[in-house]
Amino acid sequence: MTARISDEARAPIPGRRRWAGSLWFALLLASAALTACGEPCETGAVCARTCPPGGAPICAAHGLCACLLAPDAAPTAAEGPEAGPGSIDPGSDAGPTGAGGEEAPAACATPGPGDLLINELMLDGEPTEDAEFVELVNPGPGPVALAGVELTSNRGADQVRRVEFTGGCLPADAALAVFSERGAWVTPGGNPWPVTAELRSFGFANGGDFDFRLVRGEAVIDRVEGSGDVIEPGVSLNRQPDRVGPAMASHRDVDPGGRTASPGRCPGGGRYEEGCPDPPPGGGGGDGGLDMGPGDAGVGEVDPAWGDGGDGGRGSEPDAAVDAGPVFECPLPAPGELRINEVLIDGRVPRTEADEFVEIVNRADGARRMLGLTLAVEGDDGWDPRVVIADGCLPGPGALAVHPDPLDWRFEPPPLDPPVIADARLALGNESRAPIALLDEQGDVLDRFDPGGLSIVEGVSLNRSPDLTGDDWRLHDRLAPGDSSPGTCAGGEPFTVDGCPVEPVEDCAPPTLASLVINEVLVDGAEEGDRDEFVELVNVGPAPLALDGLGLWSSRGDGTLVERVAFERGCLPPGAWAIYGDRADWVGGEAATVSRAERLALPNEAPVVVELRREAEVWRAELPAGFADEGISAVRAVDGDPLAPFVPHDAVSEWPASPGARVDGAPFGEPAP
Amino acid sequence: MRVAVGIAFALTLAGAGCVDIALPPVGGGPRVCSAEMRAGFLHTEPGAERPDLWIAFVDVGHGDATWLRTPGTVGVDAAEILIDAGDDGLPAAPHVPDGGAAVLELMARAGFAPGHPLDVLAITHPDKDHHGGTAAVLARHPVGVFLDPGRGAGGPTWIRAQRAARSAGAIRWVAPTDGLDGAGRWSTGRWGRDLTVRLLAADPDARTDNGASLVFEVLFRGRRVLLMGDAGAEVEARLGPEVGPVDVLRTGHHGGADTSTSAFLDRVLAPGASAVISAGEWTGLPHREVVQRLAERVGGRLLRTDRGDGGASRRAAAGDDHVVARITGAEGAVEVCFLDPDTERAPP
Repeated sequence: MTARISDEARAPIPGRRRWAGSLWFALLLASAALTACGEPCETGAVCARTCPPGGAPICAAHGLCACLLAPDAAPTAAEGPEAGPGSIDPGSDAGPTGAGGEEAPAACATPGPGDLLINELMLDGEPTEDAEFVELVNPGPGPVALAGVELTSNRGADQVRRVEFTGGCLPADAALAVFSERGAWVTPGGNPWPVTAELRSFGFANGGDFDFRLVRGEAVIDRVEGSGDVIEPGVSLNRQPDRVGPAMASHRDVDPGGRTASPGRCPGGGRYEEGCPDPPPGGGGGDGGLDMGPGDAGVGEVDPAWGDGGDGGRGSEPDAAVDAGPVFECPLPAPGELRINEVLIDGRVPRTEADEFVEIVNRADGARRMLGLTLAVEGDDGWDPRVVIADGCLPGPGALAVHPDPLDWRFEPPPLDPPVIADARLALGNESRAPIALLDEQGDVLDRFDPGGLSIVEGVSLNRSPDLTGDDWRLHDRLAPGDSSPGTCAGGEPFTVDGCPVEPVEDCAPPTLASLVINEVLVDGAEEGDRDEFVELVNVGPAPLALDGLGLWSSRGDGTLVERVAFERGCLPPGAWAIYGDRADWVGGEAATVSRAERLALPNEAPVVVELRREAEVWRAELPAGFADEGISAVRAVDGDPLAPFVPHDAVSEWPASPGARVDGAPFGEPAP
Repeated sequence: MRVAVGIAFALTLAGAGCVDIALPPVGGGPRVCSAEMRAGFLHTEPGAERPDLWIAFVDVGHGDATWLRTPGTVGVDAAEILIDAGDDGLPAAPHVPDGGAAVLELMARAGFAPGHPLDVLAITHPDKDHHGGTAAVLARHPVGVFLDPGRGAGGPTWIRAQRAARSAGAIRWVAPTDGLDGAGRWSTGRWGRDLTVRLLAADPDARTDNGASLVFEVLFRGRRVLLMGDAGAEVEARLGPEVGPVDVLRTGHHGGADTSTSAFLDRVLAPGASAVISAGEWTGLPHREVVQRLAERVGGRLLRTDRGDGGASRRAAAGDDHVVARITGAEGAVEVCFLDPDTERAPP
């Protein structure tokens, strides 16, 4: 299904309609992965970010730092340099950088007249000059080197340099759309030879005669001229016939479908590399799937963008026809395509709620429409909507991290069609543990997250395990370094159609009654006070045990149990830890995170109960009052055997106690002697 | 001295009854910002700590666009919020100022270079003198969230404004009509350090465009600033008793006759409050009685963005009467003044 953002669907609120986007932005998104720049940076500027091989960090809108990558897979050695196909040099005027600045291979021919064509011009971009572009096409059978090629056009009677190419090639039967924003340059089929260039003046007159030239030294590779009478706002000029004709005509006349522009693509929207097929209906294109057509409304019909289009308005500004802008494929999601993948329920002080988020991932290979998409929390009367998205498109593959404040919402990559928010009241209760659901426009559940029984750690999100595909939920730092990764895979990579990289997961299994043992307890310390009282925990299994949510409880003199230690995170490796009242005295356990660590205060004159609790599991040790003498611990008669009774330590060893070790001082975690 | 002049002015007005005060005094005087304050507003370095709240009532010719530069670390948690964008100067006519250009010009003066993002661009309501400059602003500054009352409107300029925002990747947030607490609550984080912005009114189904207007209250260091958009008496009456007392009031609808009622002013104005009339070359606006009501209450602390416009020399309507407010210091001292002296310009 091809969902043009038009009047196909009902508008849940006023102010929703067809999308009309700037081309440069749309194309930028073809393969961008973004993160926030530390400081505001100018769009198109080089910014600070570590990008994967072949990526170039360029500041996009909102101060986001994009890693521009090629849409296709990594190149083979035969295809080109290791930089990665289609990556665009960030455009530092200093010249080629990194992989993007590789010399063009010898296979790329130096172009002569006719080897490169100026095929399409957008001279009066709408809504801004950012939409203006020049499309270059290589009509030949082999790649053409761009180094030394200059694009010039007239300013009055003079020719002004617009672009100076410094490196890279244009593949055979491929097109390059050159925008004023370097990050928006695009070759839809990818380019194994990254193009580098220096941008000069890139603002074209909207009227008057035009004269564009591609030159290399003294040689004119191509030239197109024409009268400004044919320039229309928001409509490009294209060779008529495409790539062949000597004259430039309105794109609408070149494309039987009446589209207004097709930067980097055939007039009908297909790729030159593929012989200009018509774009498949409904399928999301991996590179953004641009469809530049006028949409269902037809050319000239009112396009109210988000608006409802015409309830009168002010008398001084009557309704008027506004040209339709580009539309793109954005069907409603199919079952399973949208998932809740990550949730931060308990934000960290001081931002607390502001940091909380729900990550919605679009697993499809193409954008999916967010019409009526709702995040709801289960309440007494059913699903209570908290966030309602009236419209917009979620990039695919891609993600949206929904925060309470829309200012904090984060798309990866940025959306071609940003959302219209009808309601934004995300508030995730730490205590209620209410399920969260993602609902479609009809109120049907697309996906849900149930935090019941899961450990909730302040500042640490819960993430699907395995990332994106799993049905289990784990604390984020169990999957990858870091407390959360809103908008990306747990490891920070962008979501792809193949999911997320398999991260090396700390294999930290939930403890069982058989694998975790309360092995030794010192109730009455030799020292004055209770400082040397301890409880020894032993992992008798072969794998580390998860400690999140584990609590150590002990009885007071009146028999009531009090939680003394609350583990938040960490794994207990095979072996033993001795837990003291003072964290500094612990034997082992340095890496564990605890939210509480109080003195144990075990009663000397009353029976002692020590329990470990985790969710429904309870490990329990009971000792009668005065079970062992002062300074003598109680220890399992068989070290590490959860079924063995407790005996005074001096009954099985010459030592009074052995915190963190076997009764004979040998370490746990090794085969018993 | 400033206080004395203000009191004298107020007393003069109060005692004069029907004094013609439609045209306030021309010239600089004590209400022009000090050099220190001008420098503070115009020279904020990226990455610098901005301890104060700055509000510029940008003279866009017909009225104002309100630019909030909120406290925090610039580029980190300080926010840039623009409420309205002026007109677009089209069709080219003396009565249609290019307010968007005036906004951009002031931003450039203040070192807010093209490319620096606006966290929020709020359009109070879909009237062209408020949104016409949207596309121009968006062409220079990326916008995070585009906030508007969600009122359907058919004007092509409004459509273009929305399209430009959408094309630029801005999230459109339709202002909650019943969730005034919601907007305020969530605004406290990113809208500036220790700052709360509350959305007090938004009504897409209002009888008039003006009635749909977004109304904001800004709270910082115990001070309140009330920004009425083009709301009139109907909205004023709806604002609950929890609003105010305000220290700076940006009055509604260019000082129209149905705004700033006595009851409203008596209820919301704090002692010593300042008032800003978003005024310009509208025939009959600001209304004489509204000016009088305000002058009676705030005296010399009444400032208009049409200072001297329409006088004999007909100085340029846009760009010459910016009003700047600052809330500063631990006690939240409030300063409101004209950014520039009222220098004469050659008649057009």
